Amino acid sequence: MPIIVNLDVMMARRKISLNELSEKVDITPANLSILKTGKAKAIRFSTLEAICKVLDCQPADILEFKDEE
Amino acid sequence: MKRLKTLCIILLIVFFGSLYQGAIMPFIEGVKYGLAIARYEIDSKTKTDDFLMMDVISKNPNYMETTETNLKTNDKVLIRPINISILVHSLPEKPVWWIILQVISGLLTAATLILGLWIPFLVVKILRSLQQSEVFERINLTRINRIGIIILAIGVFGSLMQSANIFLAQYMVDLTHYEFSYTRAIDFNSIIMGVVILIMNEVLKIAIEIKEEQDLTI
Repeated sequence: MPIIVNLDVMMARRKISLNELSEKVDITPANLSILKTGKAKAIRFSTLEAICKVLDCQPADILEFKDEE
Repeated sequence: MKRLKTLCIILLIVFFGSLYQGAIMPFIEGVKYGLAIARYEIDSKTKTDDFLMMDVISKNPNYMETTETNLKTNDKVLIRPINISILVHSLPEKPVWWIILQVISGLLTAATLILGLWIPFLVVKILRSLQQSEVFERINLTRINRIGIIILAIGVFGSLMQSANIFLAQYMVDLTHYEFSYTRAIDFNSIIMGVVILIMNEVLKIAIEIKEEQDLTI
């Protein structure tokens, strides 16, 4: 998929663990792991908003478009 | 869930009903008929060929038989059979294609029987997954797909067998007042049911894809 999730990069920058982030965002670690590993097919605005709020970043810091060609 | 249980019970009753009507009763009749043929062959010391459940139409539309009597009134009644079983003396030598057709017919019968026995197992597996609320699983797609293909195959095999049977009967028998009919040779019910199940399976496939997408929406 040409949309790349850079959640792990942002988590490393903010020095926050998966479990801590999942608690603060209020989603399960399993779902957050799906998002982190790029297996997710879609992301809700509410989830994106919560993650951006906790990590203090913009959606573009988490999501990136890379043309596969 | 209550509705599902009711439907399962109805399915079970219908299944046993169809098993009794479609397998047990014909089996008992077949055994009786087979014994009668064996007795006839022993008594007459001849080999026979039999053609069961053949559809016939009268050569003359106005023809009616008077071979039966109404026991209630002792009057002769007019009848015109549309489905008969015939027993004839075997020809001393049969062509090779006859044997080939008989073998193919036998193989198709065995295949139909085995495939027919597979369906209840697949249905039970689907019902179990329904009970465990695991309807939208890809394994169910495979099961329903198999059921569709089996029913379609049974329809096609049945049609081929019936056509071969009529063809063989026509080679052996030419009745005075009746001719064999191809009108019910093709088992359209099974073929239509098989195709409908395969179409419904495609609908379920789309539903599963939507469900998977929803599951992976965070």
